[in-house]
Amino acid sequence: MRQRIEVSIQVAMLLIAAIVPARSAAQGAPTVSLADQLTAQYTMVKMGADSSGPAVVEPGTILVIQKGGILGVPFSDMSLVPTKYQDGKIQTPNNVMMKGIGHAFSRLGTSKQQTTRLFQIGEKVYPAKIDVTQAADKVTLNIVACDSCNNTNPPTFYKAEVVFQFAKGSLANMSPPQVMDTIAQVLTIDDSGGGDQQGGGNGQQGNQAQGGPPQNQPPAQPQTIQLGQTTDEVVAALGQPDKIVNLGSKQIYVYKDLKVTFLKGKVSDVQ
Amino acid sequence: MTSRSITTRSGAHVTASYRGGNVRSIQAHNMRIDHGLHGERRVVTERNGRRIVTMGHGRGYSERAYFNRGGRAYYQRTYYYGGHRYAYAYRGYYYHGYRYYGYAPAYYYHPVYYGWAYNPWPAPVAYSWGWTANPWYGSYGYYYAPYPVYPAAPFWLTDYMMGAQLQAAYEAGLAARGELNPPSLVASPDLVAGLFSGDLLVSSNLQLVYGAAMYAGAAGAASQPQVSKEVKDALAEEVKQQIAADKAAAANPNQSAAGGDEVPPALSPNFRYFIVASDVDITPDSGQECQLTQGDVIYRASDQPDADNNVDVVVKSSKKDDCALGTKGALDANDVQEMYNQFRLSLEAGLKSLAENSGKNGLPTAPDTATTAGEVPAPTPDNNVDSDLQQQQKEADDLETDVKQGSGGQ
Repeated sequence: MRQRIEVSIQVAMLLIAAIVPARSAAQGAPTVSLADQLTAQYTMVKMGADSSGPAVVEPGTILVIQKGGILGVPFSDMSLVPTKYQDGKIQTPNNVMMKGIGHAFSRLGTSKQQTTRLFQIGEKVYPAKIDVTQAADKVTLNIVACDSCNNTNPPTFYKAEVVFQFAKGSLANMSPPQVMDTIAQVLTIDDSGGGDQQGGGNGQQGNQAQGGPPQNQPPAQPQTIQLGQTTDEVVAALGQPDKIVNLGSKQIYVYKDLKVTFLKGKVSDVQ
Repeated sequence: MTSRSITTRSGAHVTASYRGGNVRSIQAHNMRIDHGLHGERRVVTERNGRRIVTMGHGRGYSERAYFNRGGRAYYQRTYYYGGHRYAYAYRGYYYHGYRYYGYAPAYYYHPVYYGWAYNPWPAPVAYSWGWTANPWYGSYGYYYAPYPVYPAAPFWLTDYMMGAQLQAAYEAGLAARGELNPPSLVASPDLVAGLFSGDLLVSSNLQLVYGAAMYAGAAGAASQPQVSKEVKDALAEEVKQQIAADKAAAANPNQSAAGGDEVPPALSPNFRYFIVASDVDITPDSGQECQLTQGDVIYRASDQPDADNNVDVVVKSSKKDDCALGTKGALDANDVQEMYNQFRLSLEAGLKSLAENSGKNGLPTAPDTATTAGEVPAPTPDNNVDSDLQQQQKEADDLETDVKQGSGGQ
């Protein structure tokens, strides 16, 4: 009888060590960049504008502010002074810098007043853009206030830029979850509203082999959807939709037992 | 089963379900704990974009979004076992409002290899697996016996997959009894997911470590194995179907559908028999709950999930102490899909082993065993999965303690 497995453990370990890298090399497949992996994790908000000003076209992952000191400016402002996060501390842009920006505005001949605001702990925001600069060991996350989540009316859509500065040479060796954990020290993915935590879905899974997803406790109160509500108001109430049918000015958010139709970003029909 | 709302010492509100005075499940904010029929614990948490699943005894994985391409969302799971990490990719999609995950291969073979693996070999091949020298076979020899000869690769691959599952089941049993620490051997990454040490090399290691004591209780080989030839042939036919699907995918790796409902392979008419990949409890029509363990075989009897996303299943093969042969019950379609995913993984490992053994030990020579890029770039294991799992276990322990000591109303 031929024996298939007769190699010693030592030989087997060498064999495995040889096989694993060989397999990767043989595939010749590109790797997925950190930026792409972070982008998959955080669904970016898509902003547009209607007659009332800036508007959310497609909501993104809702993040909750965990640390104070993030400096925001109105959505329409061109200036955006980054707030730095390093070694566990927020470094808020100082007044001198803000005055400098105000001075620049005045020199440009605009009468616009620079109106800044510090985001508060617990406020909810959307990610708008994420950049990874590996050479500088930094990740930059642009955020926009989720005004409907924060019951801010009229909406302001304050925005900010947070720069996560990592130790020199460390970012290249970090896995995406480690980067996400650092981001979460400042901006945690909201888990209070039943929205998907994994990049835009809202699924349900099996109970045992896969492990059922935890259900939030206590159960949420029944949500009300009204004509004229915006997309992010609906998402704040119902969570991320299962599907989005985009027909230009008309969008349909498909939930398990509900279809919400938006016309120009406002609820026009519910089925 | 009775349920009770409890306020823990920390002020959290949880719901605990009891059966026979024992806690069967605890539902807390972002954490769910389930105890199987025989007490094994499964913990699922969701935190900061990651789903962490522990199946006890240091086994588990962390899942997160991986990348998006062409309207398709991919997820990565990093499995942790025996001090090592292994990563695999899955594609997320929806069917009837439920999210499913389907294994996404990181590489394919050239179509000619799949063709060779699909079609009959020139002559039947006698092949010895050497299982009789492995302790798991001493325990499960009564349950499963390999084909005496192999007229084609699907039959060989079926034995490969069943052998791997049963080795893993054997080791899980040892671990559950506290008789085994996770092996320190570097296991093959091709089998780890779902099998957790279902590797011939690991079993070899166990044999070295535990020696002849592991052979105690070996079943007599004279009795008829529980897994019938009909069941094995049905599994081999599904292996054949999957090889054909892989061949088509290899020829056009970007053909996967994007968006819209997509029937999970677990509900496809081509796949009705499934090898149980991890412990799962079912409640048959009789009402007497029973357990299926790794290596048991079920048959999916209904094509469409019901309102609770369950499908009807019938037990086609089971080990002693598991649900009896012919038991009818319902399983979540997602659980069945996970069985299918593990089938894909172990088949991929089998094809790799077959390629490496091409022309050796009596196996015919494969025409071409080179690989090409698959549906997704190979993910890199997350290096913090072990700390995630440890933290989860601690939190689960604390929660269980809290629930036992908790106060609150009904």
